[in-house]
Amino acid sequence: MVKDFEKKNLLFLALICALGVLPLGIGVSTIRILTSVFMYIVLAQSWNIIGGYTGYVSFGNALFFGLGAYTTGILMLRLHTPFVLGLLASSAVAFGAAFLIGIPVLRLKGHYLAVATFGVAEALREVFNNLRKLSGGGEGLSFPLPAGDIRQVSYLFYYIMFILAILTMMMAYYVTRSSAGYAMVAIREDEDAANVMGIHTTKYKTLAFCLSALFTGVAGGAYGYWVTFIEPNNVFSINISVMMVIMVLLGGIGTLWGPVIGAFLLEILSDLLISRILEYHEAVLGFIIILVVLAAPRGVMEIVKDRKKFSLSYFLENIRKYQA
Amino acid sequence: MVFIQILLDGLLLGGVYAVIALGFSLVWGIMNIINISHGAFVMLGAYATYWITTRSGIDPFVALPITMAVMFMAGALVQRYIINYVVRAPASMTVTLTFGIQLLIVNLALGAWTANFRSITVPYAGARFFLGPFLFPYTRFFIFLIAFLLTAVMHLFITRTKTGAAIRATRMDLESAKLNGVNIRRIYIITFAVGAALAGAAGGMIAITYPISPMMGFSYLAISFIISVLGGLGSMAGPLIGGLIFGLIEALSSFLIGTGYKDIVAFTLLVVILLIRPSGILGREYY
Amino acid sequence: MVVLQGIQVTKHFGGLNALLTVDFEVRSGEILGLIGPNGSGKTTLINVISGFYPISSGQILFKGYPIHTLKPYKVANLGIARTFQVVRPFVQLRVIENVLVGALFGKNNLKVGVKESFRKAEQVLDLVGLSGKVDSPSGSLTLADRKKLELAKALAMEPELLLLDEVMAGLTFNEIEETMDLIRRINATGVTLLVIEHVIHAVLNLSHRIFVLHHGEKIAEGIPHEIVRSPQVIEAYLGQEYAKAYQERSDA
Repeated sequence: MVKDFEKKNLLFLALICALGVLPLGIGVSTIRILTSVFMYIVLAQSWNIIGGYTGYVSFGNALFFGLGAYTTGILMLRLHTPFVLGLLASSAVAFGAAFLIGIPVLRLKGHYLAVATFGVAEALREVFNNLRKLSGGGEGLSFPLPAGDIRQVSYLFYYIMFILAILTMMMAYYVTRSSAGYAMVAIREDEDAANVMGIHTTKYKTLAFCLSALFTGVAGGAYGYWVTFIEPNNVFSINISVMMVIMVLLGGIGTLWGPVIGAFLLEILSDLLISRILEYHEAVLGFIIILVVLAAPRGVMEIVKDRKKFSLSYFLENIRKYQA
Repeated sequence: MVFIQILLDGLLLGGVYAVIALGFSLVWGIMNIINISHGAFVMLGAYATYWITTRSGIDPFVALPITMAVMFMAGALVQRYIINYVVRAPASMTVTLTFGIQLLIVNLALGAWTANFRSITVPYAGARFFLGPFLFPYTRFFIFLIAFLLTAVMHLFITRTKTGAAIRATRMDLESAKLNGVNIRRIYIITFAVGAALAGAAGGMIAITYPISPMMGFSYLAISFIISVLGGLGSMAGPLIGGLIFGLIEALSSFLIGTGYKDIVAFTLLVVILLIRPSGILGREYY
Repeated sequence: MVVLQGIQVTKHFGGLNALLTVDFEVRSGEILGLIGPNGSGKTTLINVISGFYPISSGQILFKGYPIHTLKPYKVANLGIARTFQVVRPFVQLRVIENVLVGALFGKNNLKVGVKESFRKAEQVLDLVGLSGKVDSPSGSLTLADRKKLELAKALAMEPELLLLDEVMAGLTFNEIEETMDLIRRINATGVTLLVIEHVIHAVLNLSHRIFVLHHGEKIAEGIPHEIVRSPQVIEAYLGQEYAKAYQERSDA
């Protein structure tokens, strides 16, 4: 058993090293795709903490992404703050926002929580649409341009998102194995029973929410610098919030590697669709979302763990499971 | 003076909002499904009315019942073959699924009809009457009346018909309803289809008064949330009152703090209500 | 020494009085039985003690310290654990993980690490007789095993006071004997118990003292021998026929 453990760790390290040197040998557009995948991993795994492990399904986590993007952007543009400091600030702002928003919002569950989180994200989107002076309002905000040629810049963001993805995975790994992680899962399974067993549910829910916001905010800041121009309708968009949920559902909700698989699949899928059928790619995406929710709501991980599940009967069973 | 005119305009618009919210809250209240694609159904209804009117030349008000019938059938199909399979699922799945449906519908509409705005023009578009110093365009006034009519019809349907009773029973106690011979699947199909028909009606009403485009649905979704939470699930009067109040608040905040902030006010209101009284102003457990 | 004291405990739900000025005390080291017809307020009492329901009026003191206004997790951290009548396992977790939660957050709230808590959880599972099913998904257990798991979860919390709500419901005769033995062993380690049961012979045999609720009010309190002869208890709950049988049993 110890050998298994070491083997898994070695494999992981090998993977990290491989991904670390990969950019040197591939084209810029592939680097861009991988950078996106890493960013999606951060978003999905972060959401997994509050949505998958704790069972508090938020449909507004884009708000942390947007807050992060604007924090870094405003600091870099107006105060000429260095990029990394901007990212740190983004993490603090996102974490703090989650704490404050969590106080009222985490008292809700199910549909009400979904609507409330959605409402907060939308409210923030509108707020930023109106903050002309500070953030450019609806016209958007331009980041200062990163130095270097195309290849160097692509390396910069590849490694930034790569590091973020690793950090997020490590956070998820440690949290889910810690007592806080067990508290979160207990809350998901039966919050009242968890309470009666001694779990300070408010504390752990809030922690989960704040952790889900932390790297999401940093990713937002990095994203802004990467794409150089942000606007509220993009970075606070419900599309981002829902994409987080979909990636996690697709990969395997409440699992460690599910979000990674989901992030990877979603990026590959969107890229493929956009390049082949740009006009209707969203329609196909919508169709795929419907299929996944109907036939494989527990995602790819469940099939990976039990190959027999990759069968028509499994999918049909899932479709019938929640019907009227 | 201008102030009161603005409020009255808001009130008239509130009628339309009420109809949209009526369908949305019906599905939420009876089936416990938050239908993210509800706004897309509004949009489909708007386009249905547009196409029926422009292709056949009949008056858009006459096209409304046809639109409702078409949307009823569309809703029934969507329910029977898609939503039916997630009725018992948790919010994470149903919200995501209906989001997927929304994506599908809107994107197909964009592809088919382009993002250009379209309008229905009627010969009597400019006609209005005065009540004292206040101006009421006939179209908007009729639409307001239709909103009331639809609410009244829905109320009678839910409280006086056998199907309505079956719908209420399904909400109150599913097992008992089943034991009493209610065909749950059929009830859900009817409920969702009615919701879609109402969305379609509202869409048609909007098409008569404003330009339409495939992306119009999303903001109506947000409004549906807010009004449903404001007015409360479980009654027909709830969305009506909620819609009127929302129309007023929207007009008021536009006037006082500019149009940019009205959405912020709306969403803040939503969150505040969810926290204080999630059952809404008139909400109750059962219809 | 009195471990738990209830003073004029009252709980209403709207117009319904579930508990009406109930006075009771649980003495250190004893097994106190709580019996009464359905709807008499037994589970409500446990819910109020554990903080699951807020008390309407009255007080509850744990070792002299008022706990009736505390949130459930605080009550748990003080050393009071309870089981649920309809068991509530954490379905998607394995058996050992269910018990782990108790070990991590009960009386020793976070003072013990995850590894150590896993060990404690294994010990508890061994005590209740589930060591063969440690890694099983908790959703796949039989009823008897689920009841054991429910008990194990509460035990892992290392409570000073354990509130059991009909742990024997639905069990076969042998399983009941096993459970009674288990309860005695738990009591022997120093844990005070408040046991709600309908399995009369078990309660009579296990309890040092018994108190009886009826329509939310306490109608009798005393040692089993007395309870079985109390006319109010016979009238409200036991019935003449069975009373005779129990009297004979308790004399034997």
